[in-house]
Amino acid sequence: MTAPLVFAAICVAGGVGAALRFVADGLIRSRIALAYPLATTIINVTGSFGLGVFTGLGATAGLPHEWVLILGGGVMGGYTTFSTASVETVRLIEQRRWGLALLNGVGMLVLGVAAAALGLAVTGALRFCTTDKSSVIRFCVVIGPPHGQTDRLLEILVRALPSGDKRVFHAMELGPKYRPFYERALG
Amino acid sequence: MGRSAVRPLHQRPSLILLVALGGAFGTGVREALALAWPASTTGFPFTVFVINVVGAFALGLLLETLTRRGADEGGRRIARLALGTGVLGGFTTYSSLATDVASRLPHATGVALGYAAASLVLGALAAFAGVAVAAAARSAGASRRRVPETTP
Repeated sequence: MTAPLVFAAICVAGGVGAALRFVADGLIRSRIALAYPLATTIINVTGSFGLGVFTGLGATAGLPHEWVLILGGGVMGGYTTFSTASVETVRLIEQRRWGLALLNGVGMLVLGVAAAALGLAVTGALRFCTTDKSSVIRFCVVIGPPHGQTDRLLEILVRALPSGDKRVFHAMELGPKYRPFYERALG
Repeated sequence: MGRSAVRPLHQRPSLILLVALGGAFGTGVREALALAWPASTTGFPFTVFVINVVGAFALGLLLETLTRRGADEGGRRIARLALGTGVLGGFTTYSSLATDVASRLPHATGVALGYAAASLVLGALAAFAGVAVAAAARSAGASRRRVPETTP
């Protein structure tokens, strides 16, 4: 796909996402009447899970970058909304519903981050940091399949540099040293 | 006519299309900015952060202005759905905030927590500022209009 076509597809996808949000919000509100704006929480948490999944599929299963942009940035970006969540928190504060305001702010973000992390995890884009006892370098181990049609697992050691760049200093088939981390992470 | 009047808003195809058009525009502006100024995978996502805070201010301003002008019907309803639910809903994004925090937590914990806290606090402050600006503008406008009435 050419760049202008990808951009047009992202815009259309954003429109689809926004329409989904409008319909989902109306459906939830017409069924559940609460002082707490539950619809926005459900939309943002499910959309965060969706973006986690599409980002993870891009990282581990070879979903092309333009499709990550269209499905993730487009559909999930248009579906979820930060502005409505912020205004609804302010409305709850105005009504002096402090607990609900806190739940709508902090609670929604904790749930959203957990949902996004779950989305990244179920697609095999497991990332965790460790400090190797034999060194003082803090690095990340990324373990996952090189593409979607295999059971092979690779271990990739990445160091995040202070500049924000990442340096890969080790990439090979998953060995006995890091296999226990992977198995523990999968539960 | 009678059916359409009682039909819930989210079941009217013309309004769903209106929200979709607004959402496509808002998403296009957000993605253009995000692609022009991308964040590094461990850095602070400034572009989306600014987008979300600006969008929260604009939505607070829009909704408070519309509420103070009258009931949610006619042109006000169309403005709320097209600009608020559509454009600003598509412009801002919660999924990107959540995923960027989740992916930074393991190896850039400080950045992740700082980004989450700054988004929550400044997002709410910006929405509050938008509501306050709309309220101030409305009462200033109302007192200006009242001047001829009180002048003999």
